[in-house]
Amino acid sequence: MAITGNSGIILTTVEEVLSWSRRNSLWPVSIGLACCAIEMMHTAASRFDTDRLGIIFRGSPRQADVLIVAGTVVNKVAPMLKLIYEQMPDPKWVISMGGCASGGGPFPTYSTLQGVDRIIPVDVYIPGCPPTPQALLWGIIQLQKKIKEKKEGKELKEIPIRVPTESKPIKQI
Amino acid sequence: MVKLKYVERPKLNLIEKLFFLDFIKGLKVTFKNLIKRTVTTKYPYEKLTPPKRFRGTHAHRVKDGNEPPSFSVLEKFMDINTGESRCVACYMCQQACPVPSLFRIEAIQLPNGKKKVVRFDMNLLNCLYCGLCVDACPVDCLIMTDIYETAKYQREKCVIHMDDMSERGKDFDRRRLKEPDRIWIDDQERIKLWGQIKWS
Repeated sequence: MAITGNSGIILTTVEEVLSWSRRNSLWPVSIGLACCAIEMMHTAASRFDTDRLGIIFRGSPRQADVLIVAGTVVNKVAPMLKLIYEQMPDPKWVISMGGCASGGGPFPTYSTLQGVDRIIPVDVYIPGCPPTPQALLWGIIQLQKKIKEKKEGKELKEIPIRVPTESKPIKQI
Repeated sequence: MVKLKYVERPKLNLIEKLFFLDFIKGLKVTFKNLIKRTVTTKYPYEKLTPPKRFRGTHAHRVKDGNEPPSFSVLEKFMDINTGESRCVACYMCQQACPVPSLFRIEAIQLPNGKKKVVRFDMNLLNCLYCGLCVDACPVDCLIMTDIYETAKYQREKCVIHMDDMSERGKDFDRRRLKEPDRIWIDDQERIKLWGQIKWS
């Protein structure tokens, strides 16, 4: 586990521990721009509880390290969004949720920003209009995989996680 | 003008004061919810099965002998083998789409005069998932599956192509083709809610 890089045993072990703690306590900023924010609230609610993954929505960008861009980014709100991104402490990640934030979505117009990656770097894109809560959770899990794999001078590879292939419905209460 | 109504606070007797009976009454609700099974879905290990008509990622049905009669009319003009996507490149989905620029459909004419679809790309980042393209498809080719786990690291990975769409369609038909295609699984439940529907 430890002797994977060329920076020695101690440094890589510290890196592993830091990455483990970072990916298991992703704290997003509670900012919602449009209807995707409703699904984001739905994800944080009791049916798909994000707290069990260590994801707690914070009110201040200073305490957060994930920015979930949920909704249409119009040109007027783009400077504020960039300000919020710049206020977040390093290391920070961005999840672009929904089609509007990722690529303009159904608004190919003058007033809409055609993709939030024109102003801030984005790690995970989630298509959907809006994505279901499960899709957002899947995007968060993909981000966790990315954080796990991201090291200096190493390419990103897919890590298999323990996911059942057969889906099963939960029992009615 | 606001009218205020004052309610008398009930007087507690000595036993209620000594043993905190009201407090225990309130805690009963807490304990009930403590013991009750939670509604939380443990997502990566326990997944909800969406209904069959869930509007997820798009897919293509393949030519497998279950085509509607409109396909047999168009079939003799097309160069489609069994097991390939049955798209005939009629551009009906693009016409029905609110954002037509998300489709990239191309077809060529082979030397023997037949038509072959060479490209069918959809940019899912511009898609509304409204299902109008599915309704517009005349040969029942374009469908929507129950797949929603489509988060990607790059923008260009969100574009789906013809070959993986037909793979997804095969997979979806294998899993859920036999399922009844209706919202209310139970007809009795539906009659109870909406009444008997009289067809003319």
